[in-house]
Amino acid sequence: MGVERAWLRAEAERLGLALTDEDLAAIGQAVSTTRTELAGVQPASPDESAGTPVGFLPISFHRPS
Amino acid sequence: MPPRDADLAFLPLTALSRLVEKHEVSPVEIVSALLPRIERYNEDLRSYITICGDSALVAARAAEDDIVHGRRRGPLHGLPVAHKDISATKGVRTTAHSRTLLEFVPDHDATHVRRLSEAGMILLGKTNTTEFACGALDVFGPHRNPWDLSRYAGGSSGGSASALAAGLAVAATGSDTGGSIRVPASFCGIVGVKPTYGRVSRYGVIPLSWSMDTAGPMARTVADCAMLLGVMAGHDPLDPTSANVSVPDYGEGLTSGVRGLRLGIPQQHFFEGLDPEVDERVRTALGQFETLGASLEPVDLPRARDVAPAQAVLTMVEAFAEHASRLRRAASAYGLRTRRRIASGAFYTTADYDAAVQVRTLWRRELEAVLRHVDALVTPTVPLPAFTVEAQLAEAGPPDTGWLTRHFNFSGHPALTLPCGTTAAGLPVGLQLAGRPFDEATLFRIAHAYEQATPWHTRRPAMREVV
Repeated sequence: MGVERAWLRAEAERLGLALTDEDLAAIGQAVSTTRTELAGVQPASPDESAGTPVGFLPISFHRPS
Repeated sequence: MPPRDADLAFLPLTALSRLVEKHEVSPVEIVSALLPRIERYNEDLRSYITICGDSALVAARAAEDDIVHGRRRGPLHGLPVAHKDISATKGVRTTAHSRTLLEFVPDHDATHVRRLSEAGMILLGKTNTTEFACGALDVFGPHRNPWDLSRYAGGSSGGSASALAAGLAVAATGSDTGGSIRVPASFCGIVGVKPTYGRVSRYGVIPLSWSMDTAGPMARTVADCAMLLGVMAGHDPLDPTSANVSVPDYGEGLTSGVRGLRLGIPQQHFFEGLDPEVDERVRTALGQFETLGASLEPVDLPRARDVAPAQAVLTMVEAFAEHASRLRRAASAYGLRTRRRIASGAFYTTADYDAAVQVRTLWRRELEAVLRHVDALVTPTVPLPAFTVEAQLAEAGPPDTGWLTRHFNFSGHPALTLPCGTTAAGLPVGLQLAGRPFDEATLFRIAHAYEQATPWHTRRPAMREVV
């Protein structure tokens, strides 16, 4: 789940973001940690999957029941 | 005998409204009671970024003239309000606590600002926030907690919370993407409401995360928040995510009590790892609800443990989408913490985003199923009381204050916090209620019943350190 510094630097350049090495190190750490945690909470089986997240319109589009 | 200035500054909005209606107190007296307190305490508290003293007095005189001559617009006419400095205010600078917006003077009001203004409320000032409701406190300094000035008021709507707790405001607004109304309200011992997503227009609120940002009221009592939300809420064609759902009279039913209501107590996540004093105060509050006639029902919400990383991905991806062009132009003008947090959104993949969205769908389904069987959930608001300003500013970052609040931004459900006690050190502890979509009225009813049975809303900070 680690995020390579070279990829971060190249991506920042591609996006035109003037981020320092220290910025990229901190961002890489944060993204890596969050991505690892997210992988740990994925549905355990296809039965648990939400599938295509079509239920995902903001709640303001739902009528109160 | 008319109330003294300090009493006026701490009276509930509903009480001030009645006094104004009966011509016993004028809007000028209320504004004149607050401005010297702001002048005296704001340098230490940093509650306000911009103070609109002169214009507030002019508006108060105009309101007084209207009211004296029978032109009272309604219960909020002539009462002052402070808006978080992330909501656009026409002709008044709106900085979002950012160097990139120091000279930004909007040519329009945010919709909730306009609605409160049209109801006759007077803009008292713009309150402090973390930069873009997201991180740094570099420009105007940290908002401090009136209960202990060495402590942080909480973020991001901490300026509104500290102003209310210290008697520098009688009504305020905030915005909440992961807890930014409820966390500072809990830390400062006041009431804060995150309405259902779409209940209050987001138009004119500088965005952080389009799918979770929610504007809401903050005040010292539940009834005050109910009165404010009744005006702030409603469909707005200027916000495509605004809900076209009727707004009830939140005052009706406020005093109906909780007898017969079912309150869900989550068996996972929400009561894990709490500060012992927070745990004890909240469990005492649960007992109080039983005494008042509600039934407590354990409910299973195992996916609550899954929410944090998924909500973080969506927040940062959406924040980066909002800030991309400004970050390209002026990355170095952002505070360090804000820059890094928002820029991190550029480095998540579509697979990360899709995974986060799926977690949200599953969480919302689980929550909706539970809320079919109980009327509301009761949890602590923050796992710990207010920590020090040094801890907030530490390079390693502060404790995760959104641990118990972000769930309801993630799903869109309404939630509020109200005080339920204090620690041995005198720091407030907050109780969170969360309910069904667009059913803020039930949350107000439950919260009001608890509030009226307990003394916490009547307490004031001594603020000895400031004198």
